[in-house]
Amino acid sequence: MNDALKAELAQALSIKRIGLRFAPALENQFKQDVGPQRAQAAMASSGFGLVLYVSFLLVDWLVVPDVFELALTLRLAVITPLGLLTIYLVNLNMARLVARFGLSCADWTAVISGWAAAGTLLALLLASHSPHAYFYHVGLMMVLLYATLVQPTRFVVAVVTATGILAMHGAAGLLGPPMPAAILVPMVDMVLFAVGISLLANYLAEKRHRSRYLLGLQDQLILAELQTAQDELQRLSRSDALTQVANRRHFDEHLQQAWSRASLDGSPLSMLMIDVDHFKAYNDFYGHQAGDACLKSITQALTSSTRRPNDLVARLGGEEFGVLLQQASAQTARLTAERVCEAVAALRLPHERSPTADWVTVSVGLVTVRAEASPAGPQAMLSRADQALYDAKRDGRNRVRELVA
Amino acid sequence: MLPSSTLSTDEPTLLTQVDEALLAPRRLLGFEPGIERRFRDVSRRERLKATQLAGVLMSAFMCLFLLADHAMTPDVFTVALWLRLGFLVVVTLLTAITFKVRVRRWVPEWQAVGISLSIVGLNLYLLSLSQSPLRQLQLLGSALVILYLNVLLRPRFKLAAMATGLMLLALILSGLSLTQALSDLQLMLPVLLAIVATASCSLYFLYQLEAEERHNYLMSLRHRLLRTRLAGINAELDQLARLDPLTLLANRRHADEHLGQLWQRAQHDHGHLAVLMIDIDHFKAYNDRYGHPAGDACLRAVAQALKHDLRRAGDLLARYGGEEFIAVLHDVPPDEALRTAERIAQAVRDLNATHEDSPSRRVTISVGLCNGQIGGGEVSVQDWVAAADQALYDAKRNGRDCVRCATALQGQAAA
Repeated sequence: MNDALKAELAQALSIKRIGLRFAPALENQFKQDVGPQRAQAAMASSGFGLVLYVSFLLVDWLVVPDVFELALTLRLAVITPLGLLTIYLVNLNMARLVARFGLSCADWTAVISGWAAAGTLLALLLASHSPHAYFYHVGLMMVLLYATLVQPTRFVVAVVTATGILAMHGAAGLLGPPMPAAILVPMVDMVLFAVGISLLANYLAEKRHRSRYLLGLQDQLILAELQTAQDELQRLSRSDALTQVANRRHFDEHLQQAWSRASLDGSPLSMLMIDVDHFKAYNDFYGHQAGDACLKSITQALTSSTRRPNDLVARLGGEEFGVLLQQASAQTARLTAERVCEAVAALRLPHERSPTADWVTVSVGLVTVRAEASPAGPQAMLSRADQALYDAKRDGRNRVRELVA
Repeated sequence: MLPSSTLSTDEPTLLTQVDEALLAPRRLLGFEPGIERRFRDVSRRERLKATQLAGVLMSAFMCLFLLADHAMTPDVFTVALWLRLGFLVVVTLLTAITFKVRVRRWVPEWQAVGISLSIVGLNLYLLSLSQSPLRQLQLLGSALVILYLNVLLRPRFKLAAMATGLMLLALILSGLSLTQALSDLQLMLPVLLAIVATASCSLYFLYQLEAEERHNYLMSLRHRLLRTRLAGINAELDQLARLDPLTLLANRRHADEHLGQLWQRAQHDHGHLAVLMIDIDHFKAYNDRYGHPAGDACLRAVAQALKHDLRRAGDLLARYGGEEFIAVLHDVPPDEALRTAERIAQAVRDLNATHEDSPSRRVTISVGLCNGQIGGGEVSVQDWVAAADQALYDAKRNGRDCVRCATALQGQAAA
């Protein structure tokens, strides 16, 4: 979601307006998002509408028996096949139509089916000589109520449909048999009342529908924000503040997971325990700030010497680091350990107080295990890596020692 | 994972309830009692407003009916006039009361239902009096009442459905009672069908509207709860970013930021600044001898002692690394800074925490101090910290448990 959209969304949610339309970007997004669903709903409800439409043959038979044949022809032989054909064709190409025309697909379905139903009634009213033919004004009203209250249409569409139906009322009044005087006023009253009420209802429905859409968008935003914050919290609580690599806690968790995975698939698991040689002397001589900078540089060297995505570098304590390699052969692990040792030495960070070299060096203890063959578990692995590190220190530092099982 | 401390006790359950309700909306539109109560409280105002609006529109509605009465059932017009006007007065008074008096939650809804049922009752009564040949059509007027109730007044769906059902029943019964000959059905049946269709459409509409309204309410509620949660996480993040969890002093990250700010301000108004580097003596030995938990406790105790003596507003005290702390005091003369350093060293000594592996047999600290006036020279904040670090090193070399000043830099800065 881009910033313009976010701003429009915030505004739309905070300001109560009478108008329905959103700001341009939001309106576009709205149409894109609800178009398909609206079109499908319109199709579904037009199928239901068709059934209702046909069932009103009963009323034709009662009220305008003289043109019942016309009613049969119109309802069953003209409109129904046309409606079914349209529904079939649209269903066939639903995805394409919706992609191409979006909401207008649903809109036109609503307008045309409304007008077709109302047109049938108008035709029957005009053709019939039944004394009760005026009752079809009530029929027109029912079509309007169905089109605005039941069919999921937009307000604009409801207005267009209603205008068309009002025009048909007018046409029937002008062209049809004159209405009994006693009925004229109540009928006009009723039609106007129904138009007003149905447009109000449609307006309310669209208002709610639009709020629903806005709230859905807002939901996405809040969830994304929450996710970011939670990730950040995770990251912070699992990373070391100075070097930004994993901290001890994360290393331990990761080790547990890697251990279970290695036990399952039988792959080897390697651990490097790394300690900066004579770091206390370095700190005392160069000061804590230089010590921190040194640790950061070493972290860099460690990260760049472990390149596979599953490798984890962690700062375990003051000047101690751990590296966990998954699914690496003993040979790869050995190479990695050597690479780490060399990469740190290659930094050539001057270390005047080191008896080992003129620059900063590290000692590395390495252990590679097959988890499924090691009942002692990850803790034993840690202490074996520690033991290997101790060996490396004892043997003169700036080197790798591997503990062979 | 979300630390539970960020949420008050009832929010997680409420959020779960809201999410459940969102995922599986009830067919008959209702929530758990707790949420339902909140929802009704919130929607109360809207329902009241709808009822008031409908009350105000009542005079227009009555005029409409009187016009129809006059045209279709002229024989009972006088009765109709008096009854409808009397009814209008009652409704108007009732509505007026709701503007003035704070009404209970259920009042607008039942008022809406009551008004609608009364109008239909009135219509049916007039119908029973009339002998007009068009009285069958008069029934259609009651279809408008159903629309009026379900679209304009909009009570809760269940209530509306019951009221609508009641009205339909009454209308159908009286419609059938008017049917003496089979030929009467020719008009009566379509009339009744129209009424039933109107009722169905309007109830369908009301159902959809209320379902949407309830959904939207749940979403807003959910957003409020999620925002609370977000605020909690952000507060936690802020803390995590600034606090050292062990000693609850500022952490290094915060220390660096704050120091930068203090430095800039001091540079701007040539203020004095004192940087104190504080280190616990022989802490590694302490840890080795007494174990890590005791070491942590020791760090906390020292942090407390330092905090007690360094709590002037705007000053900074932070844990800088393992057993190292940093304090930055602004606007203090050099001798005052030195006195403060001596005082905190004494405060730690006064803790009297046993440390067998230290020559003094107790926990002590060494302090390196770098202070003076900051002025536009080339000296950077890093130089100051490095100088304080150097002074700390001097203090360590001089037997620990003492304070040393970085004299060289001080002179340079003061000059």
